[in-house]
Amino acid sequence: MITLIVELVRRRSLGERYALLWILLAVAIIVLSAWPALLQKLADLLKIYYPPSIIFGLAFLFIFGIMIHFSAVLSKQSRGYNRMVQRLSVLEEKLLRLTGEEAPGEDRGEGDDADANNG
Amino acid sequence: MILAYNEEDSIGAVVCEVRRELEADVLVVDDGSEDGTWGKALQAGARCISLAFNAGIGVAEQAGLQVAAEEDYDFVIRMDGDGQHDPANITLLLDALQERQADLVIGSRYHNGRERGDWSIRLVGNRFLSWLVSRLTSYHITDATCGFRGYGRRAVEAFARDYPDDFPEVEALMMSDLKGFRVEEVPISSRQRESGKSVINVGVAVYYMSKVTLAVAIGGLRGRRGRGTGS
Repeated sequence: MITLIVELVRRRSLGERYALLWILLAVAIIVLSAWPALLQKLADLLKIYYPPSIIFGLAFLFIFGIMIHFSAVLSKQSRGYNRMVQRLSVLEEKLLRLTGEEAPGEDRGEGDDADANNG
Repeated sequence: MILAYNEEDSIGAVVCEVRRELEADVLVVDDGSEDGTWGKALQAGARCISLAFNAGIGVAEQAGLQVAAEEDYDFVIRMDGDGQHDPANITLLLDALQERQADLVIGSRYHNGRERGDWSIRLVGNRFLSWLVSRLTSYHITDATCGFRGYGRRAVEAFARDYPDDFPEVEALMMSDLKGFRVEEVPISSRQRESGKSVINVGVAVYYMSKVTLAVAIGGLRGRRGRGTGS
């Protein structure tokens, strides 16, 4: 997992911000797996009967959290897109009126793949 | 302001009808249509702004309101591009804005309690939302989802700044209540769509109801804590 993350960052496919999160998770899992005594101690402390479930629980919580975070990021981005498409359309209309240019023909809008109603 | 998505068959007629009905600037907001809506609207003599992709009716409407706010229009009437709203009713809405200083005026198809026997999914949903809004706000609303409405200057400015992205009609009422707007309903006649297909099906209806109910409920919470100005 760490190799994959490092490679993705190297190719600039993944921002450092998220890479850090994933690497932290990987390290936490490695530490807990490689050091059963620590896991046992944690299990005793948290009164968990089956120590390895701490690892699963940790991973689950992390994934849960990051998914919610992604939903929030997506919402924010779609808001940004919407504001941008509004500005663009208003400015475009203004420009066309100022230059008195002919309207583009019926081919307008074709090839748009983003036709979903993003709410 | 006429909102249109893939309405090339009807948009021209609607624009012409509005221009016949009264002396006003007509702005068509094309919500990323894939057909010739844009060209047809211009041909008919309207101004037309066109979103680069289908971003949702609230986004389109807000773009139109931004134009109105920027260019200092005092009143905006919003109607659909499919011909289901009769331009003859525009003066009724305008009267409420001009004579009675309403900030937001809503056309109501059910003001007189007509269509009592109709239990279609659209009407039941509409009734529920109208009831909900009437309970949560100071307004008495019978047709909360009607898209034939008008805005006064205050509402134009407020909604140009902050407006829901999709299915905005009901939330706009909640926002109006928070801002203390004067809202009025006037009875309008309704007629059949001239062409095109309604976007309402069961899936959309369920999403619409859930989304709007959630938005309305959370909107109530926001009111208590103070709402941000939005972007």
